[in-house]
Amino acid sequence: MAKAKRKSAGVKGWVIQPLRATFKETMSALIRPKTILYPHEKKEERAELRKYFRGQHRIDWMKCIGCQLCSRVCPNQCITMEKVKVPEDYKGPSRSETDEKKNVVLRPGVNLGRCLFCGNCNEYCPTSARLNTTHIELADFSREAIIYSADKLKAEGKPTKVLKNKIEENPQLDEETCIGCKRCSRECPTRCIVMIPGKKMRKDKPIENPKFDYTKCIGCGTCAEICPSDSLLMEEI
Amino acid sequence: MTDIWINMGPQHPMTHGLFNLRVRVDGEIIVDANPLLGYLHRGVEKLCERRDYTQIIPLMDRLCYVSSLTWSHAYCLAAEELMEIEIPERAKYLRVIALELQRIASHLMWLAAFGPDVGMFTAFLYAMREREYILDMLQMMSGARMNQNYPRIGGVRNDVPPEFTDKCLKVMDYFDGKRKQYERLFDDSAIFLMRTQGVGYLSKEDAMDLGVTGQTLRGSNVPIDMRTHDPYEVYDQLDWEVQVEKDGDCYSRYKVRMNEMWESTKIIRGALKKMPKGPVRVKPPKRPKGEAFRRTEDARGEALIYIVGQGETSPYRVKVRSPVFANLRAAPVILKGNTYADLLAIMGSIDVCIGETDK
Repeated sequence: MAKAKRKSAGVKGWVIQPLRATFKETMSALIRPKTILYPHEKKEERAELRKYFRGQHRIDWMKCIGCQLCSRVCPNQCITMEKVKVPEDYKGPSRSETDEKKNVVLRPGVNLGRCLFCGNCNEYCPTSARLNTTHIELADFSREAIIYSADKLKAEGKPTKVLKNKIEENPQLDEETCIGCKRCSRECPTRCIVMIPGKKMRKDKPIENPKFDYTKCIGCGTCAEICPSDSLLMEEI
Repeated sequence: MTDIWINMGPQHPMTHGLFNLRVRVDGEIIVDANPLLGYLHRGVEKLCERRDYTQIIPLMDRLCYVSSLTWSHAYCLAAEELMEIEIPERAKYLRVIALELQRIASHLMWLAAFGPDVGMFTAFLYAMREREYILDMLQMMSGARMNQNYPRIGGVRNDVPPEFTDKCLKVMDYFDGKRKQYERLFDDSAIFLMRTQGVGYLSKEDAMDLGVTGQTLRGSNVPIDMRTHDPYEVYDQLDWEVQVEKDGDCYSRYKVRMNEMWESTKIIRGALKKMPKGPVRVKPPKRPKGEAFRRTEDARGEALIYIVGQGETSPYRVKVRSPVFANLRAAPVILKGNTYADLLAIMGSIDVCIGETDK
């Protein structure tokens, strides 16, 4: 094989030329150090870098409606929904009517050992209840300590009623298979389903079919998942 | 003289990942080499079958942590071709800026690894220092230093903050100003030239026969770059040139990478100047049908993603074609006839990344 000719090295090439570049840098580094002693000193928080930062999760309980959408879009299934008991005079939004009577709300807990920090849950949250924090020092001594329960992620803000369908899907009904069990209207987090009598009859009575209010629907897919006869399908708008 | 086989790896400082390079030596001359893969296999292509189209993007980031954005972008381009959607003009420019920032960061990471390979630890410290500023810019754009998850099918995740343009231009000025320092450190150093010039020669014919891609191909005097060869985004509207070197040795591969970094700053400046205002994201359809493939210029060569959709929320098949897999195939040809001491410089100049090779 052909080979290019090697350059011969004099004293200038061996020593002086590379040293010239490094010596200059050493002097400037002595005056103005480029590194910091990390755990003892920390860089001041630079606000412009933190705008879209994805750190540890926090959930605003006054905004969260427990729609389970975050646990569905998560690529690693690291979000689990927990049933949390709340006092009777709890003011925050709840999941459904039945739960309000039992004083139970559904809120997400996160297994940070599995989390990718991809930010999909924040992106699709219909009420913007998920907050971007800048907390990054999450290492711990045991696996159990990095499984964050719903209580640990709790943050209290102002209750708002912003609902935005960010996943852009709506449920569609197949009237042929619907059995009229009303489970979808019970479980709907925004209560956008009302049951109206349909065309099919059972024991001389019409079967009640769900009717959706698409202005309120957030496309969480709870109704499609809970449906015992698989007659709901999530379709794009 | 008796021949012996030497195992370089799986755990070896040379490998930058887990793979085994079996080298057959006759005295000090390498007569044969055999790269063995399989130590870092995660089954990425199988994992894609269980995730929907959006959930695959962060998975594609993990193919290569050094240049994660180029991989998720290649996937998004292929998915857009499958879904037949056109993305907004501003999103195209934002993608180009993010890709070129990622390319500079990846090349600096390569320089940081290549320097210690040829006995120059200073290169590691200098390259890492500059990389910090580039990663700051990527964090400002996307919110994460590594594994950004920034491109989306139909655009990008978010628009950049308004002060981004000024900050990015400042970083580019700083980075261009360091060019002279790098040239003095590498190109003037006789030790560096002795370890790289004339070492690891790959002829033009061999490079084309073996299907080598990327800087290894352009170092052997073949001017093929996917950004002009098969244009995507807005690369054909910007002012820049493909970098080619003639010699085909380690030094020309080094030179191509260094010149590409300065060329990338040119692209970023041009893109920041030309970037129009407008939306950054359109809505993709959920259940596409058909098949599509798209090749892009990764930081290491030609990356190809092939997707088959069958009208479901998740793809039927995702095939990843890694550039380093082709380059690693050429390693035995490049290594043959060189001395054992030059092996580190040669394997370093190929820029091996096992994460994407083994998948």
